[in-house]
Amino acid sequence: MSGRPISRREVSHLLTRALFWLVIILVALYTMLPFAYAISISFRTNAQVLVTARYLPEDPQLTNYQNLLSDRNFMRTMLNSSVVASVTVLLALVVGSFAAYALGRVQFRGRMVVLYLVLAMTMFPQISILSGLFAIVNDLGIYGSTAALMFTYPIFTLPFTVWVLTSFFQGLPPEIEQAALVDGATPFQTFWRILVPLTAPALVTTGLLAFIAAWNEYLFALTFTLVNKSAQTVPVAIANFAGYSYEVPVADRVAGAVVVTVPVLVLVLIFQRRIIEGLTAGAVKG
Amino acid sequence: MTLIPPGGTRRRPTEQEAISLELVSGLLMLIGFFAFAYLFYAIATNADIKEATQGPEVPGIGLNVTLVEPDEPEPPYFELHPIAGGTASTTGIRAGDRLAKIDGEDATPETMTLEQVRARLAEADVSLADDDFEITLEFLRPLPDGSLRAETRVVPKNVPPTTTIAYLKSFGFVVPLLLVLLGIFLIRLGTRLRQYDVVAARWALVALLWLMIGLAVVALWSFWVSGKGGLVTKEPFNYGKAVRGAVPVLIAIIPLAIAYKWLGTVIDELLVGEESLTSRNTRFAWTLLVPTLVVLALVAARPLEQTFIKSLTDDQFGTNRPARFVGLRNYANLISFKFALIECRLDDSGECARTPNQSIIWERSKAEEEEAEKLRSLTSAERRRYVRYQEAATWRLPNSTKGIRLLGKDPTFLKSVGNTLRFTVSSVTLELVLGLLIALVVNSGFRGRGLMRAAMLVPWAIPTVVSAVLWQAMMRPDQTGILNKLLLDLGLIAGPKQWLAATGPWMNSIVAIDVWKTTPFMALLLLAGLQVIPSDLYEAAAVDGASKLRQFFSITLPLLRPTIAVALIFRTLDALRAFDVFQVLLDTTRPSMAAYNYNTLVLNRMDGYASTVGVMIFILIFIFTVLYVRFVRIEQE
Repeated sequence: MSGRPISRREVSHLLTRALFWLVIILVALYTMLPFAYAISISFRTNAQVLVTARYLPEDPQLTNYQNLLSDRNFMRTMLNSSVVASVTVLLALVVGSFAAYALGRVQFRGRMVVLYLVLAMTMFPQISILSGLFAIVNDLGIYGSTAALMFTYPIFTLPFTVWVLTSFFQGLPPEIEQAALVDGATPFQTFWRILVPLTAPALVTTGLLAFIAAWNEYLFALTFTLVNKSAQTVPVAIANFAGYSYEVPVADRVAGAVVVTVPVLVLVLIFQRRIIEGLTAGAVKG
Repeated sequence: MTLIPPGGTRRRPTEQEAISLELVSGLLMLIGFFAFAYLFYAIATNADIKEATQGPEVPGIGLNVTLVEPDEPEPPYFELHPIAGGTASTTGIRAGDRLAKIDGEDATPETMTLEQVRARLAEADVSLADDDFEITLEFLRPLPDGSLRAETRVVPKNVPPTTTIAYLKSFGFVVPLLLVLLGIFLIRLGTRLRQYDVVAARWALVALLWLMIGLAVVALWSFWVSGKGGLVTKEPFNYGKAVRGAVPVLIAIIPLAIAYKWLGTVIDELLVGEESLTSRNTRFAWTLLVPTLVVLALVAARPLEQTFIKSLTDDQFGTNRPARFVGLRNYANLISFKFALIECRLDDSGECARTPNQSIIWERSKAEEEEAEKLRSLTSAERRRYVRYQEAATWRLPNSTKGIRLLGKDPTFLKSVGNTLRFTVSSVTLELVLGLLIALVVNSGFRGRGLMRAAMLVPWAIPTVVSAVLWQAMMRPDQTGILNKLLLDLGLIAGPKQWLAATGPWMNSIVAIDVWKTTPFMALLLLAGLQVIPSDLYEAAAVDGASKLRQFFSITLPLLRPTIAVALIFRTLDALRAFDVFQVLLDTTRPSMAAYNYNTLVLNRMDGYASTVGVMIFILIFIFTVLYVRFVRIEQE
């Protein structure tokens, strides 16, 4: 032990440090524990879950996952979700990047009107247009199919995509088009060959966010696929899950929840830096 | 030839080229006319509109009645003959059935004449003002063995909608307006192209390109729909039908493609005119905006317009009853409320009497008595239409035996507004405080900061429904719920709590789930705002001897204000629209506004009323947004 007395300053510094790490640990526990517990539940059987609550499974079993992965209906909903989300993303990116380029880099009359129009689309709740959309979906003859979802999902992915991509396009230096024009490129070539590759990172980000939004969507999926089980997506399947036994399907449902969340989590963790940039790009510029 | 315009051309076109140009402009004008023609055709042949203007194809319920007088001793009877396509035949009434009763009233030759029966079944009996849209028919069905079996069928009356509603429901404003604009645009373009105008030619190229792409999409669509053949069929995909559905559309693309190719090759040699950069930019911008605008018109503007229109009607799903305009009645029923002073029933000790589960027993208020009185005085038909005031909420005044009761014509809606507001205020406040704390901690830079940011994204990435299911498992009401177990083990609660039951702390539970799910998002937004605050500001403040707390209040908070504002509006709008959590975790008596909207639409099939709820939510959010934007703008100035 050194004889030097600990000064007041050092004590308060140590205390701040301790408090700081306490907050970090609490936050980490708070965000991670529920999902960790979900994984723990998913290794128990339904019967066990309905009798006692345990932090860790007594004898971990894979039955729930085996049931799920051998359930063709459940796998079907996974496939539906993937297809619907992918098509939605593709549509949102192609259509949205066109509009975003026009709004972000071309000066024209009516620009602000269109921009506000697109923004207004994000303002009303999905539920308030549900019955109107229902009629259109019915008229088009796609009620009860995954096509109904591909058709309706642009309502929340498109405005968002346009919005975020517009701000990305605005961030690029203005000399790009001038240089391209001097080289004799048409506006469309400039857009397609030069600017789109430059915004590839932004496209990945927005695409990912749109994918997650479409993957997680519940209301439209519930309404438009109510009559056809084989067209349902994962959130609907999980919410309506009846289980594989006569018991209340707690454990199997949670196992299902883990299975559907894992693909999204993997995507999110791989692209986390990009996602954070994307989430904050629009908001900070306001 | 007189085909060359006075303006002249870059070089003299050959006769063939002149004719080609005429053909291309003719094609454009033709498509323009086609847009009009299609609109008129669609309106003229629309089944609903036709029925509204000309009356139904099959009159009444589609039932002919004849008087049959067999030889004595058999009594005479009325024989029924349903007309194919009428509602009588679809409900299963067969030719030869013998009428016994109409709406419970004897209808045999002894009690009614043939004319009376016909009048009862005829169209004249059907009126829109009348809420009775069904006829109950009781009849005797002759069986092959000669006996008669008594049967009853409820036959919906075939009431046509009014013309206005039929039109508005089928067409509305957005789509016809777009078609008309497209028609005018193409016709004008065609006439200007005939002047050898290069600007018109460039616009024409754009129009042709998008028309071709549009037709290709339609072809794909009709391939899919005709191949599938119907709504939800188990039949295999029929490729023959699919191809037959798509080919006509594909053929229509050919002339457009030829015109596009030809115009593209001659545009620089033949056509004249100057074009400013602005005009060029405008065209380019609108070209790129076409798909977005079309998609938004179809999936957003059109349904939204339908919602507004339907909110003025009493439309219902799955009934034969046509929608009627009811003006603002839906809105009135939705938001009518009044307050009443009430007193509680006193027990022996002069305190308020309570039920076994400790809720106060209230006496009925004067307003409620009046309502009950009024209801008693109405006839049964009036009573069915009368919407009375019912209890939505009751508050006890402090230290008294009196209370205030909120009465509403739609108490569940009022409750849902209350629920949503409570939910919004508490969850957004908590999220802001916690989010700010987390953002500050993460921003201060420590080892493992990247890991922390990744961990924060976990709750955000879990689908809301899935997180609701997960929390449902954790919040199980007895010892089998981990939350109860954890809190009991830590000694924080005395016994297991019913987290989500109506008698438990359900609102706090819901808020907790939402806070868990969305605080990370809030924290990320705030973190981004924190990172753009220049660090030399803090250094300067530190040199001046300002404490950390002082720095937070005089630097961080003011500079973070715009970010906080944006984050708040994002989250508030989301919270006002909350649906999934309420829908999955709670029963239908404790909805949020969006969940209530869903219940009225899907469970009660009250399309018109549900639309009104939707519009009300929209209005509330709109008011909030306007106030908010104004507030932020003042702040910035």
